[in-house]
Amino acid sequence: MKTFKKIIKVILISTLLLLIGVSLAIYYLFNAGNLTSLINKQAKNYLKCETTIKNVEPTFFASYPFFGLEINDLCLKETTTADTLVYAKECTLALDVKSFLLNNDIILKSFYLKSGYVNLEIDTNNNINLDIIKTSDSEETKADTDSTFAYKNIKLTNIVVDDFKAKFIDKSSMMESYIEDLDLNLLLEYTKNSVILNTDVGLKNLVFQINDSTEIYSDIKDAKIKLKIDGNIEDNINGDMTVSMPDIMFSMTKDTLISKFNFNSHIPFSLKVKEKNINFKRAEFNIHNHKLFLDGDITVNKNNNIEANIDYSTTKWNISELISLVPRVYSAPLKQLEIEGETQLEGSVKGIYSDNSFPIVVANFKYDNGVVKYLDNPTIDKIKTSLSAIINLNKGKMSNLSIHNAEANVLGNNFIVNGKVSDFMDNPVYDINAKANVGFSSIKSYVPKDMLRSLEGFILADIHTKFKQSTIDSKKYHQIYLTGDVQVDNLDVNMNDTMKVNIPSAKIAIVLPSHNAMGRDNLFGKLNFKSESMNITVSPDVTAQTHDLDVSLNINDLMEGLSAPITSVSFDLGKLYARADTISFSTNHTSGKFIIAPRLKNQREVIDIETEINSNDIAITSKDTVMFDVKNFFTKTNLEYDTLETNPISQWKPVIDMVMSDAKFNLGEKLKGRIPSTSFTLTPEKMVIEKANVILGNSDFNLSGEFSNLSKFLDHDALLKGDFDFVSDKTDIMQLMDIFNGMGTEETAKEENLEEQKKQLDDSDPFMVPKGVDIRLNTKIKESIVNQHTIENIQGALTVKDGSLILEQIGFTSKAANMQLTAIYRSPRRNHLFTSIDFHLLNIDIAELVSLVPYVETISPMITSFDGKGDFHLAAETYLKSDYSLKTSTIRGAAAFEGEDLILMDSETFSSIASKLMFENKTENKIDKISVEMTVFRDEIDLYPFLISMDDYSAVISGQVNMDQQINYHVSVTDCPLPFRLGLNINGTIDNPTFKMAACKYKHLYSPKKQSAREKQVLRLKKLISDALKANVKPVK
Amino acid sequence: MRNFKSIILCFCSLVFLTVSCDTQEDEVYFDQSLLIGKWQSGTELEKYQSDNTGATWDTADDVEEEEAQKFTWTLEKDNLEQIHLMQEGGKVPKEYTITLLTSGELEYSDSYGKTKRFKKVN
Repeated sequence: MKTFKKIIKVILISTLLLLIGVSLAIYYLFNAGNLTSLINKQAKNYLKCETTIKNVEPTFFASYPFFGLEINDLCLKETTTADTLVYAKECTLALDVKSFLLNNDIILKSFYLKSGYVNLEIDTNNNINLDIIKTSDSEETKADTDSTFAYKNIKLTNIVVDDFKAKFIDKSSMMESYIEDLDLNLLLEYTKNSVILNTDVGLKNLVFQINDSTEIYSDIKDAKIKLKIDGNIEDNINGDMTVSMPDIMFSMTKDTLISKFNFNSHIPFSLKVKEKNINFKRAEFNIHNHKLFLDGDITVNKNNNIEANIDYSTTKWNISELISLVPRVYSAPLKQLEIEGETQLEGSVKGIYSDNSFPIVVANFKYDNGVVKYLDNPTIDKIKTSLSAIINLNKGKMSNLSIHNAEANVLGNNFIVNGKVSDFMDNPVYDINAKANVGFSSIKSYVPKDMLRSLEGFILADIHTKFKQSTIDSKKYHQIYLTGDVQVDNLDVNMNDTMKVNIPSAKIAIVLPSHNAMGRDNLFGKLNFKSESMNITVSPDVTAQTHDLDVSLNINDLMEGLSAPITSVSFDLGKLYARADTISFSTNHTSGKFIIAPRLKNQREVIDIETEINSNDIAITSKDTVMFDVKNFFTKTNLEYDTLETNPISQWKPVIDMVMSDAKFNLGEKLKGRIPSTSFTLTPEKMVIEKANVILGNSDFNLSGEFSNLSKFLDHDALLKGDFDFVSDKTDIMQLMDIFNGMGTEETAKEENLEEQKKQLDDSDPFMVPKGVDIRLNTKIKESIVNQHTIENIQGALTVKDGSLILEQIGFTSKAANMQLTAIYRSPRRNHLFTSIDFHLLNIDIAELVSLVPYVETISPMITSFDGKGDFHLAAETYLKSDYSLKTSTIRGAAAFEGEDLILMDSETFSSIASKLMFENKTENKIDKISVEMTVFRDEIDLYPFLISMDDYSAVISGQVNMDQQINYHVSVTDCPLPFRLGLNINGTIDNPTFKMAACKYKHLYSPKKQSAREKQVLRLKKLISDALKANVKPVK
Repeated sequence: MRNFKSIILCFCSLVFLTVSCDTQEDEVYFDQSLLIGKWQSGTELEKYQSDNTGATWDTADDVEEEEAQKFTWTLEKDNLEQIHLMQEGGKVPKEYTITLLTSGELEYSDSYGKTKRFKKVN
């Protein structure tokens, strides 16, 4: 018993001591002053910074059975700068110490932090200011090894943060962030099998800014985030998160991009932990009142790749509201753009996201009730479209876009587009069908009124095209494929009341056939225009009608460095009728083609142009008269246009063939005839007229020959040379002169400039012979009629050489004589025209001579008194005024007549002379020989002394006659039966001569032994005149 | 009567023979160097050059000196002979008798009594 008592005593004493000890210990520990002092002291051992805690008070009983601690005014300061790192005004927590110590659980009954503040800063060397815990190397190693989470259960209830502020500055990246009034309510229960999280975060203000060149600044006010999680940590967790941000502001480079922007979301989800799968159940995102919904799964698979299986959709978004979200800084171009309508998007994101894999995104976009208006351009309304895009960014896969019935209405005209764009993320390939139904009257108001009075009609277009974006980027337009049909109905255009076009019906077909390779002959596109009939009115007096017009336009590839594509036009015209005033033009069955082909030659552009026109019937009619009618007409032209060349021939290098046959012309009562056939070829060097047959009146011609040196002539390097043969079976010269008399003077006058015209008002317009040309026309006329005289075998040349027109050695025969003629016409200046004639009539009948050359009678009136044949030579020259009147002072002339066995015709003059000189007057007075020389100098016609021998009489006649017909003749009787020699002066006028006996001037003219010096001089001059004239005579063939 | 006619004829023949005999005139010489130069008579101009070529033109007919028509000339005693040359080969002789030739004046006449008087214009 005593032992028992001792034991009891020992136990009681021990218990008492233990209680005293524990009490002392608890007293020590739970004494606020001691504990505060202890923690402040220990803090210096563990923390690098300056740590002050005003008060630390254990609250064991208040939080029983948990251990509680209440901390006031906790403050950590930077040692050197004294900046506050962490501050907490009041912090209370209650921890289940028993569970923590015995079960390794964290059970926090409550945690309350009020007026907390954290100042986090990273300096330019990336040192963080909160690196405040003192550690040794061994501790660090241990910390590393103990980093695994070892708590079995965590239960945090009633976690409250009130009025928390934070500041974070990263000087290395020039970033700053501030948080104001952060409130947090948190409940977390975490056990081995389950987790429950219920958190509610409120944030009065969150500021984030980057102070580099981007100057990003954002400010989120009154944000609220709620997150609820409930589930099995090993299996399935359900969650629900809501985010509310009613006021978001974001700016960049001081430009406000969004302001008062709201964002809300509600995201229900379930998380399968083992499968690493999260499932969204109609997660809703409200982006400034535009809702987006997500449904589906995101899974992290075995290879840590993300596998998505998400469907998304939006509500109908008002597009004008969307556009209003465009930041003001970017909205200037949109100010004048008005867009209305509703859009809706839905689709999916499915597939694996990894380093080398992307999920496939499907987007279906709808746009309804759309209206687009930009400035004064026509409003596009009734826009309705549906687009489907499949975006596949995986290697070797294509992203495609489909357009389903995109419809729009412009000015009442309907447009529909269908098609698809393949591989639109990489190398888009377009396959588009477009249809348009357009009424021209609707677009009339957009054409200036002074250009267009009225516009009516419809077109219906249907176009299908296929091309790659790379084709456009690389300008390989020849690879575009396009077909299009355009139907035009009742097109009626009135441009300015006078210019009108009416097309009842027409079809336009467009084809771009697409070629892979590029080459000179690659066809880029074809355009075909067909119209059964077309009426064009240029003015009331100028109209045109076509029937069965078929025009094909081929546009070849536009090659690099060239200004225009290679283009060809071919046409087939059933009928054309055009009228200008009283002149009309018509063709039947006309076809042709026109090719323009630019190419590079010596690194500069030259353009080849080819034309070909073939017509079966062309007619030009004036009133009821067919002026010109050709049954067959063909022309082919090749041009090579080079802008660097200077003269037109070198610049165009033309090669032209023209063939015309069976043509008739009727250009007046006299100018009518036929052109059986004509053909010519023009090249840069020469123009060759193979044949040009013309039948005009009683005459027919065939002209052939060529012009050469065309290019050199135009470069002023050589004369233009021409050599032509003019062959005619019959030429009625007088009729031709009658036909062409006065022709061309009107046209020539038009070409003169006004000043010159004024100067020439009182003058005719003379023919000016072109300079720089050397053209020869070889004539061969079998029969010609001049003044009712038939001239045969006219052969010679008409030459135009450098300002001179030369009729050279024209030889011909008539029943009167063999003739040779050389005539020259030069036009050095308009009022100084030169003409000369060298004319020889061999074995000429005098009467024919006077008839052919009436001028002979003027210079030698007495010639008509003779009958018979002789040789006549005439050379004369003079300058003419612009009206072709003679410049008298320049007249020079010489003529000679030699005849034998002539008959002196009985006349009143001769009778008077004979009676005075006592000639024996017979009815027929024969003259054995006569040699007459005459000269003309200005207005003086000198008749050199010539001898007339008749029977027993010989007389020498000489004298002078003036242009005014004043005569001054002298007759010397050299041989007569009388013993003396008589002389007779004849004065007065030709019509009224006076006779006066005078001394005999030339009594020994033909008696060499008795000749006086004067008579010798006269004979010398006669010979000089005669020899000079005969020098130009060619032998008669 | 027949004898009377014969007597009359003989008398007349004697008269004509007497009339037809030329009287011997004094010969006149002119220095042809005086002729060289340009001479003007109204609007008509003549130019004589030392190589016996010359030219004539009339400004009334709008002809300039460079457009003048050419001639050759000779002067023997008082006989001035001009051979006017046509461009295509014909020749037109004109003969004049000089009645006055000084350094400043020229006067000549033709066989029909037409006289022209020039002044030197060089």
